[in-house]
Amino acid sequence: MKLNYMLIDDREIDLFINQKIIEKFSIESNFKTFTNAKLALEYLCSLDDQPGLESVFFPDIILLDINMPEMNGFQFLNAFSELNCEKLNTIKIYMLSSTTNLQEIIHAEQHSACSGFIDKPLSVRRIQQITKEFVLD
Amino acid sequence: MKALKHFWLDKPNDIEESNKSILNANAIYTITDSYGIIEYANDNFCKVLDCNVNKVIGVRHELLNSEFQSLEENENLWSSIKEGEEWRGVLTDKLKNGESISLKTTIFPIKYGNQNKLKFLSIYEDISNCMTLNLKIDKDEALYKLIYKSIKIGIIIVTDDNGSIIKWNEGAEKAFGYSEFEILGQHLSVLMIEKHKKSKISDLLGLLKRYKTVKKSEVLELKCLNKQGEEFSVELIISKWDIDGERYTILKMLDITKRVAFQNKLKQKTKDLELFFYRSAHDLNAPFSSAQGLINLIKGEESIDKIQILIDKLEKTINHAKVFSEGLSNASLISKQSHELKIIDFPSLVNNVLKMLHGESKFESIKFNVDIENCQSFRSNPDLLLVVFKNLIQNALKYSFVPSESHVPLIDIKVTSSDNEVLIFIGDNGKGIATKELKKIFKLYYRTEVEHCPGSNGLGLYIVKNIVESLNGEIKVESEINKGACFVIKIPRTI
Repeated sequence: MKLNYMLIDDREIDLFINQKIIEKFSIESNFKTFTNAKLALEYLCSLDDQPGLESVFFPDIILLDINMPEMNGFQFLNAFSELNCEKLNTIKIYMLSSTTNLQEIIHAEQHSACSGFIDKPLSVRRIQQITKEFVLD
Repeated sequence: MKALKHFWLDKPNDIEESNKSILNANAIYTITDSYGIIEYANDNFCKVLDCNVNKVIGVRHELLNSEFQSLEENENLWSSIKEGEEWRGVLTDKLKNGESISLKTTIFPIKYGNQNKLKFLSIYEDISNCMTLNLKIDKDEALYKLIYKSIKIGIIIVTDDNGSIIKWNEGAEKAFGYSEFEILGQHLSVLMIEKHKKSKISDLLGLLKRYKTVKKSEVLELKCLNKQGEEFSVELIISKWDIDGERYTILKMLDITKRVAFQNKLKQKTKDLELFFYRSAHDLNAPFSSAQGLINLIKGEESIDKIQILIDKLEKTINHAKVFSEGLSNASLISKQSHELKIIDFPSLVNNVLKMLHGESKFESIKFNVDIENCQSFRSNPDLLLVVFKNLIQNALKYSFVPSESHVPLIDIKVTSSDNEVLIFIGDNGKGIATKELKKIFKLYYRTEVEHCPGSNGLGLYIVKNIVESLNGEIKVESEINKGACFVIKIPRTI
């Protein structure tokens, strides 16, 4: 299953790991990675202004870290919701974090812009599930 | 008695015997001739003055004698009664047993005979008890006045009904900075901050009432203004009372600036601690997750070359985790606060730090300028200072540029001292810090933009700042982007 993944994480090592795991499941997937959530958001904004989406990277799934400097995962979710852009509505965002804080996990699961919470490290099995959910939708 | 008879007989209108006996039984009185010689004293008079009647008669009136001889009032008395006018006043004397006696006295000059000769009928009322009581009250009042004025920790201000200040104590003088002369007669609003300036006493009372119902507190917290225009927080109790129809308000205040500052500091510390726990839990967890992820990848990998790459990454991850846990143990070092002070040997301290950092990747490419003055037995905590130097030099290393033909990365380490303090400078010509970030870099778990520096954990400068503050010092930073940064630390000498 060939999908476009946007990975947002301030830890480069985790970006590397996540990409490798996904590639194990589907070698043809495309990636765009950001170590800064703000820049990721700016990129998504710029998509809204594009007339056609054929030639640009348009994410199907975003894997979003929670704890990041400048803009954290929840701030990103809120800002994303505020964009209120129809074009971007098809994107599924998952929170991917090593947090053990129950509050944060619940908060992520309940956030309207978030499709679910994934525990780090990412596993192939979890990627399979997510892709299935995406196809069923 | 002869004198009395004579006196009475000389009067044009005789007083009946019964009247005389009433007078004798109920009053204290004497009759004196025009020179002040006692001609008659009744039994009550002798009893009160504790003397024999025979010793009194024919003698100059002791009371008039002793007490008025030198006083102006004495002259008034004599001139009045010689003119034939009544005189009223209080005469005092000492009794044989040493006690004081006070007599409220009315002297009636009475003319007799044909030559307009005068005699004086003096009627007394013993008010000695009353006088001692008054004396005691005066003493008590003086005492209370002294106590009230010398209360230095509390602020007491008394105003009249219009809010004009009519009294205040030393505590008020100290807190507000006005002298008594400057403030008396001024309106209370002088002491109030802009928000309360226009409020009257009744508003304050209303505020207090609200406070009572809302916060269930008898005391009101508000801000006042001192002479220098600085605000400070006080606790206030107001009471009102009436004396002889005049209304007074008394304001009792306690300066709680220190307490408020303390509370705020405590709040900040609690917040820091909560964040510390929250972030520490996360940041301790993160490298383990990464390591787990890497191990999963290694397990599924067949190519030896690729496995080698993954193992290198694993090593890096573990190293980062190690740096972080080191940071945590440094943070706990501050809270342990070992107070053992030693004379600091700055040259060997800096040397040790440089040795510790020898393995860091950029260390070899840096030119260090170390300039340490003899700091003459500066006493401090060497463990804490080591952490300060290590963190700051580590940062300077981290943000240094790669050396090139036109650029030599420098780190300056300078220590100077004066009688009162020691100054530590740690500067570099590296990447610098953006102006908007300068204020935030000392915050717990603040990280500058990640592209800038992947190894930071948001603990280092927070720890440095806390250490410097625990040594009663100050830390400042100056920086320009791409030009470098300079940290300056000032630590006072402890006595």
